[in-house]
Amino acid sequence: MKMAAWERCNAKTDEEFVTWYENRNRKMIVFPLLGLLAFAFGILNEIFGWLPNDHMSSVISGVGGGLIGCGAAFSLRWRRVKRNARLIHKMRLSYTDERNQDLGRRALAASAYLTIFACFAAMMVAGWFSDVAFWCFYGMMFFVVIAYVGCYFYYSKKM
Amino acid sequence: MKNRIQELRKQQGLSQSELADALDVTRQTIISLEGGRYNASLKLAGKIARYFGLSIEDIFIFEQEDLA
Repeated sequence: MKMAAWERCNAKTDEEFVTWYENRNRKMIVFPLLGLLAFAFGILNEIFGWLPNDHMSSVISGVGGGLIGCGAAFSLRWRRVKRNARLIHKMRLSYTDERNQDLGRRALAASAYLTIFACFAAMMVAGWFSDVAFWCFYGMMFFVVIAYVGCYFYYSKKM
Repeated sequence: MKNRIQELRKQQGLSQSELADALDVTRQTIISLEGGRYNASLKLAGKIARYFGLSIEDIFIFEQEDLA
């Protein structure tokens, strides 16, 4: 069974799905841990003032708090689902159903296109006000394009 | 592409939920398939054909523009 977070779930039974989901959760623990680090860094930065601009403390601790909150929410949801065979079955179907997977792929592809256009628009506007913001959006736009080319060649070798 | 899923399902007296459970897909997938808004993958088409005891060509009707 494929285990990468972005790979499709191919679990054929509810038991396989429980194993797949719990293995994936073990890998996902890295996000709440990063959140904890970010939150701690944000708080310490507030005290010691390592970063020159004040608002970054709130941003970093906010991102950290968000990651911790998401991790806790997913964990609580899974605890509830795991106790109920019907909910496990329903959740497996939502992950393995081919129409759902197709919808996810199409939504991701469309949002990537929109991101490129949004980065281009933001780059053009930001260029009037800030060089840093201009180059950030410029870099983002080219990163998406280069990632697309890289992924295209990767998958063309796989199929 | 047209299909006979709704007709075959009704012939067997099945609800959409029962067919969805038998094929291991969501009820929404059955609704979309019957409405012609979604085309099944080869794998799902094979599962549907096997479930009804027919061939894929008996269930999914390929029109000229589908094969062009």
